[in-house]
Amino acid sequence: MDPLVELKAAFLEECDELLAALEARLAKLRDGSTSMDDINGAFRAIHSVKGGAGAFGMPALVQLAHVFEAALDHLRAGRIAPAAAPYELFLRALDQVGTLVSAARQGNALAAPADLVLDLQRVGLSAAPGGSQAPEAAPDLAIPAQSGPIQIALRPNLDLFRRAIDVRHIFAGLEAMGQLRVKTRIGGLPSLREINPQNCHLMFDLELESEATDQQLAEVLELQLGPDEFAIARNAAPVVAEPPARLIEPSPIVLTQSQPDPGPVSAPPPIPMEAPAPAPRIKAAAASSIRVDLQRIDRLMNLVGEIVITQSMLDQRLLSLPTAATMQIADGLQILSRQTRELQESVMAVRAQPVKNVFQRMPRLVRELCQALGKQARLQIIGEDTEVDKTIIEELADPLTHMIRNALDHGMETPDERRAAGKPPEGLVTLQAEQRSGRIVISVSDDGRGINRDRLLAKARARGLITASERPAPEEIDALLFHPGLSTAEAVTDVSGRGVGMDVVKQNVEALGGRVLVASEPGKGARFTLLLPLTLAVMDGMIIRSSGQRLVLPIASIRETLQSADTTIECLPGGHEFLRHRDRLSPLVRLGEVLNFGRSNDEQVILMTETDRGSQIGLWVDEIIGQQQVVVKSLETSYGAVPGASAATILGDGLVALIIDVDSIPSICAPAILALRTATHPTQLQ
Amino acid sequence: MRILAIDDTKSLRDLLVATLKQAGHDVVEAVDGREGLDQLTAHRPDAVISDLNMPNCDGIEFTRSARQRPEGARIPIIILTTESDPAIKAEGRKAGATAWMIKPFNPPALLGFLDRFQVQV
Repeated sequence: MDPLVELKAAFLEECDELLAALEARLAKLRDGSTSMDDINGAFRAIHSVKGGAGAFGMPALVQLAHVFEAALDHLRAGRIAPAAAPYELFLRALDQVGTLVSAARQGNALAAPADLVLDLQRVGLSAAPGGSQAPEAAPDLAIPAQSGPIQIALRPNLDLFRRAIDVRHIFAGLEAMGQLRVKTRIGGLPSLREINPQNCHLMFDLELESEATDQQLAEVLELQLGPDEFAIARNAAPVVAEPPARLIEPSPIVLTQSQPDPGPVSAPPPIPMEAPAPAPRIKAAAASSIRVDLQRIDRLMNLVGEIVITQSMLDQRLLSLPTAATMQIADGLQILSRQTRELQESVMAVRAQPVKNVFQRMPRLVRELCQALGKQARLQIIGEDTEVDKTIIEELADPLTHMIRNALDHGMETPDERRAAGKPPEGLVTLQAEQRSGRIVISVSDDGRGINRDRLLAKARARGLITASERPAPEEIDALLFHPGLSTAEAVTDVSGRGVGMDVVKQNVEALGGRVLVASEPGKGARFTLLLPLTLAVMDGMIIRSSGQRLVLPIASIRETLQSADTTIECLPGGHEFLRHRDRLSPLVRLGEVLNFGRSNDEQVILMTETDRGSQIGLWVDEIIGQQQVVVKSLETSYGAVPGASAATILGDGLVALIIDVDSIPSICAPAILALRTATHPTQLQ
Repeated sequence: MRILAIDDTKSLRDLLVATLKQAGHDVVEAVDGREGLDQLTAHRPDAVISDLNMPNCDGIEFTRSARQRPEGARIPIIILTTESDPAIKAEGRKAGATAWMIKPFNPPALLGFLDRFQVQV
């Protein structure tokens, strides 16, 4: 690929980050918690966008970023108080910059909207009349060239040498435009005793035979000199008004460019006699980082997966050899296994990113929704540094947006309703992320009215999702929210749409190997929880045998293992079996049987599992074969969905084994759970 | 020439580095002025091209500190920026900046300018 195209793509990607940072800074501005640091940060962000846009030839973006930057500069310079900042305008500008960036990504060049540019230009005008200058005051210096040599007077400041400027470089720049004659005036030189070799006491009068415009000349001179250090004149007019004290006649030494030894002009500034102590060495605070194509990391991750498989294959082969011969190799394999795990964790860490990247878009969403809905709410964010696999992060934005919309549109009451219910008029929405037992748990909770179960149930009945005689438990009613086409909002609003939402959230999250839960308390609020895997590629599994099949269970879902001979197993009418363990009665499921592998009647081990909903189920299996890391291979892409299995893996002998989705077992063995509920709470279902 | 390129924006730094490398220069990079000072001491570049607006230590601060060190006292330090405010330029000159180039830089102009330092007139 053309390196420039590649760099441009990288720049556009960087723009997204810069804009996200800018948005975060602006949000603080709105909250009134802004600091000079934030203002400077915001300024820098848009400044960088402008710089890049210029470098990559995006004039509309330069224009917009420039006026935006100028507007922010008023804030930076204190001409506008943070509280008086036109926050909404800044957001509009931010959005528009984002639009231009995405258009550029698709190869389209949009124009910056003139009204927005104008609005930005007006920022600060009213606040400080006369105090602000027009943002782009580029005077047109292009005076048509006249005949005759151009006179240029150079009157460098004393510090010229300290700026490491060699006037010969300036001469060289001018000489590129025509023939140059240089006269050096040494009249300003102090006496030898008083001279400070670090100061430049020389002055130069130049004559340039050139057709160059004043602008072209200025470009060369302004590159290194200040406006007070040079002057340009034509037609042999006096070159510059200057203090007579510096013009000491007589007889200027005339140096021309052809002279081999430029003499004093070239004298480089000597190193200071008393060299100042070098400033204390400052360590770079920012960690160095590189940008890596995600595909490369995925490739690495796949390779790690293959190594895991190869390693379990070696383990297996080793077992078939005589023990004496394999002892030492077994030790080595042990080490290899540990290192493989470390390798895998390191690769995972590379892919991990803080959820902050997604979370920081949410405060603005909440604010805009509140405005649109006439509600008051603030967003509390907890655990934004929690790290999640990059693939998962990217897929999180939509579900989170839906959930927050849902909370504000359906859950949150209006300020009046809240007051009537004895709550503060401003509601609270909490967005929380944490890592819990090998999973990422992200929840959105609100202190609104909770789920309206009566209405939800009535709707479900009206649509025939539930028969009139069914009496679902409260949690089951809540779960209806995820049913496609059900929404409790009376009227369709442009905020939460037409009942699409939570079912889509569920689909998205399940596609990531996760799960959505809902909990609600009428009048107090609702909480939606996403449970997501840490990674999608490798997991710790327990390999078991049941009804002649080898199956893999995620270690994370197994609470304990029991020998069935040591436990009390009870049987209810209908053949449902239960385990009495630690004073708790849990359904017992013969795993091979519920998965339709047939009944083995040789079950000896019970694996106690805990599902997302906190219920325990005992899985009765024949035996435990072992524990190992397994590489998760999607079933859907290579085979098809299998009830009760979330994925498959390849074991050491090269054969495929299903990975059991423990959380789906309750729905598979629903009759047994219902029987248990009937038996233990006979009144609830009356 | 060995040139130290300082810019906090990765893509722009890359563009600068690519331009310089194509012209056969040996390039050392830094993400801000602070790292720039470290690189200055570690790599002793022949010239520095620095962005102005950066976190931690901006181009002017960098220039001021660099001029205090023997390894930075005599080399050209070129500030590359979108700012065209004369007051900031004056501040840059006071800090010891050798030249001031306005972004977006024009690669031939930048390289041509560097060439002047390379060839002894």
